[in-house]
Amino acid sequence: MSHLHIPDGILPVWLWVSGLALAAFLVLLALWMVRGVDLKRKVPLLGMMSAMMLVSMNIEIAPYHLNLSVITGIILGPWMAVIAALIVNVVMALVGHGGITVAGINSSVLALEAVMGYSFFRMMNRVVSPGLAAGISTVMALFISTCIMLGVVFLANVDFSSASIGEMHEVLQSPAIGTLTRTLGVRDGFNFRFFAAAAFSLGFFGWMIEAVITGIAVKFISKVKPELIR
Amino acid sequence: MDISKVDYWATSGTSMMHRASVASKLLATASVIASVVVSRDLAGLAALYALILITVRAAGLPVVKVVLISLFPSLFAVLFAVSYASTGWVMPAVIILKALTAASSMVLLISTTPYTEVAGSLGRILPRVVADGMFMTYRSFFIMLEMLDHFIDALRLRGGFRPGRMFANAGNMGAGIGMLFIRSYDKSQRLYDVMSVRGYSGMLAPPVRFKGFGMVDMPYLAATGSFLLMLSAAAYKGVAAGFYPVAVLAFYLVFMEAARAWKI
Repeated sequence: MSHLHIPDGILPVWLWVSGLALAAFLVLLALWMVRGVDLKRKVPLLGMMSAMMLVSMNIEIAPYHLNLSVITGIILGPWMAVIAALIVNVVMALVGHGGITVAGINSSVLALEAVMGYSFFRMMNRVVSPGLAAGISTVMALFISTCIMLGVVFLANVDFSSASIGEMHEVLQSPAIGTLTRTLGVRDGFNFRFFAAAAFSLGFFGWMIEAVITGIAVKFISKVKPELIR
Repeated sequence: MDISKVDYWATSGTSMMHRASVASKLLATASVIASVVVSRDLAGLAALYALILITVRAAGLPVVKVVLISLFPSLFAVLFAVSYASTGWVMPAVIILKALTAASSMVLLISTTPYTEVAGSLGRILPRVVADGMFMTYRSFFIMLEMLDHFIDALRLRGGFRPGRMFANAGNMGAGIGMLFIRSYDKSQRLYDVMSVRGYSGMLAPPVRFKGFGMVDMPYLAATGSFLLMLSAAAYKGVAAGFYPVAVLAFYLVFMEAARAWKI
């Protein structure tokens, strides 16, 4: 569920404009972080890995399609993976798969997923085998990215006009979802609980498939070409 | 999502839409997206969706296949729409129509414009490495797709896919994907060597120059621009766009069908 299939015209303008700004910031940060790298040399690898993510999205297992964002982060490194996430989402939006206005949010979520997956993998690879570390990292990264996605949907449906400054202070003191929904109020008619339940139940199925495939793929790569695993 | 099919439609077509400039099609698509963002008028959005379908037909594209491609991303919109079910049927219908219209306009753009031209135009606003990465992704996509097809065929022939054995299948798929990653890494190294020999100096997708608008650009651009004006004005006043979108749509339908019949 990390790739948001939210089409154009559903999210409020402030939210998708913020998403585009965040994606621009992440890409600029990534370009700054790889400023010492010969990017000319990296472009073919970047293209191949982005294409691999796109091709994997063609593999649909029941209602889920693979993303391979975590393994891409592990192979490309976190900053090049951020650029790959933007490329993948722009190409996806061009073929009508997710809106062009939400490409910023989609890219940011996919990029964070790759960066988190890479970071978790680096930490866990010290204690468990690469395959297991990749599998666990994938589940953790996808769980967090699904929560971020739900946060985006929640923000899209919050009625900010219903909150006073004092109530906002209460939210900041106790930023639990219950306090947030009670204080701000979700727009009339939107059933956030149903949406979250659907996203988590579909998402859980997807996390498991992605984790098994990523874990076995990383295990295979670590045996055949270990220098690819960062 | 079938990028190879979409790419074939974009490069093999000769219709008025295929001959229109990239700038006009990007502008028209932006108008459609802007209309979808500002409007909540069910009839207006339905008319805009019909306008896209008329254009798809006029461009000689298979309408049913284009609709099916644009339906897939609308699955998430259905989830959204169902979450609004307690408000009645209008709001869910508006959400689904918004999704369908925006997705169809993007599919229409990419089905009538070669990807290299779209990437070249986007290259004017994106950082060089991103524009080149997009270009390289497009070139690599077809190589990877062929590799995946061969891998899946090989897996099936050797009994790697068996109904009901989900984890065994996922295991085989995982090992295959690992192999694909290794092969794609090796290919990228070879590709860089070949490109270097051919004088690659860090620029793959040269920016596309704007050459102005011609007659073939006008129908779709004018129609989508009119819709943006009508739907924005209606949204600003808080009323429905009424009869005007239907009138524009009827005129556009007659014009495009005539253009199609006379192969303009």
